[in-house]
Amino acid sequence: MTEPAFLVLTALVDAPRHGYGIVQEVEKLSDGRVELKIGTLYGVLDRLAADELVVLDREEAQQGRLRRYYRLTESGARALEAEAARLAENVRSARERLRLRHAGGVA
Amino acid sequence: MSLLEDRYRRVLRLLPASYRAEREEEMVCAFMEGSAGLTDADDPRPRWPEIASVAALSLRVRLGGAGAAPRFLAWGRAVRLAAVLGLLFHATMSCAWFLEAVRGSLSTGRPAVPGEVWSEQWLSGTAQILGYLLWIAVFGTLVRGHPRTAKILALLALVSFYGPLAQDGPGTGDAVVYGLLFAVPVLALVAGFHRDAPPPRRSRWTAALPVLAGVPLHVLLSALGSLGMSRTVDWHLWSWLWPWLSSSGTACLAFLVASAICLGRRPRAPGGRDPALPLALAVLSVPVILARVAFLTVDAVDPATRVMAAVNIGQLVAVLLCGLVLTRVAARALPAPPMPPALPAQPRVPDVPPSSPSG
Repeated sequence: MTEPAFLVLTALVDAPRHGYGIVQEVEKLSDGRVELKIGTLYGVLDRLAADELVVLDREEAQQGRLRRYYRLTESGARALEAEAARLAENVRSARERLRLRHAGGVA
Repeated sequence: MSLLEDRYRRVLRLLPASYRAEREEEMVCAFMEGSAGLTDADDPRPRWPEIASVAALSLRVRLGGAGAAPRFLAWGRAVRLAAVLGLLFHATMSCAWFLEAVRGSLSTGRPAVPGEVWSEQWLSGTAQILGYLLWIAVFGTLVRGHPRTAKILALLALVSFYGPLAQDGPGTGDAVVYGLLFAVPVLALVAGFHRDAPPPRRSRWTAALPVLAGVPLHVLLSALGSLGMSRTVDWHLWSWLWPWLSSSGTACLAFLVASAICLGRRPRAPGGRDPALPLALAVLSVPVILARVAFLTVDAVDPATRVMAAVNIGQLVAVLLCGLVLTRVAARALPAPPMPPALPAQPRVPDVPPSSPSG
């Protein structure tokens, strides 16, 4: 799973969001490091929708413009959980090795 | 409509009409919400990263992977096939040239790369040898399912080809045109094997094809080379043969053989209407034609050169005709463009206040 896909799924965990809402949430989640461009966002959404990890929740008009809200599916939540566990395990391994290195256990 | 919205909608025209009918309004909404505060007086324009993201999305949609509309899937498969076939050719030729460099070095006792270490000649020779190995590695990594590695190696291989040309300065136009023979399969690789495209997973035997084909090719070219160096040379025969033995000549021959097989088996093939192969070959016909154009001779003075020029023109005509027939066959077999929805997507609920929750 790519980082933008991971962040988009994470952005949809607590509530359905529309395009710009996802962009804002991803920026917040990554401390401003990831600024999704609109073309990139919709490429990610297309892929996640094709894999049935997100679905269209509803449509609204906002000052005459179309907002489509997307929500996380159950399989999306499972995929995110699995990816989060994998990343957490990687982080744990890295931290463990760094701890040993600082302690002089590994050169 | 504001100036910025108008300009962004123009950028969105990069996307296929069917995709725009589905997505344009919400993309515009998301973009404009992110650009709040800009007025026409600011002469605002979409920034280049935004334009690049739309261009990349357009490429991914048009060269689709599994799940894409049939027409875009067909285009995607064709471009990916063009990359595989083009890279197979370069890997096979590279294997033959590499073996020739090794054989020459072993038979003469001289290093495979001539010149003093770090001299211009040595650097150019090293880049060439490295390039041979890179092309073989590009094909192997691609068909074994590692397109990202293949792309990096392919760009390095291109640098090893174009680098020495760039140093030569002006007067290298023909070489640059000839270089399209290398650049087009790399472009197809970069464009076709995007994130949504299924990576090819072929057997080790497929990855070894350049070696399996390159060794006999090297033996054949060496035998022909030895004949050409003999004391009694039949110039009449050689003037017919020679135009087929350079890289572009061999590309021409390989293209014509592949086209004949493709066109010959189509009526009988069960999936005879699959446009991927004819479309891929039609794409590859362009660099093959340009590479042969680079070797066209107009000032042939002796009979042998005149025959070679005539063979060259014959090759060009044959490749051009094949390219046109393949394009026609592919165009007839291509699925129709996806139809946009009958009505553009419209909001189904009334306006909500700007302070909408969630998002």
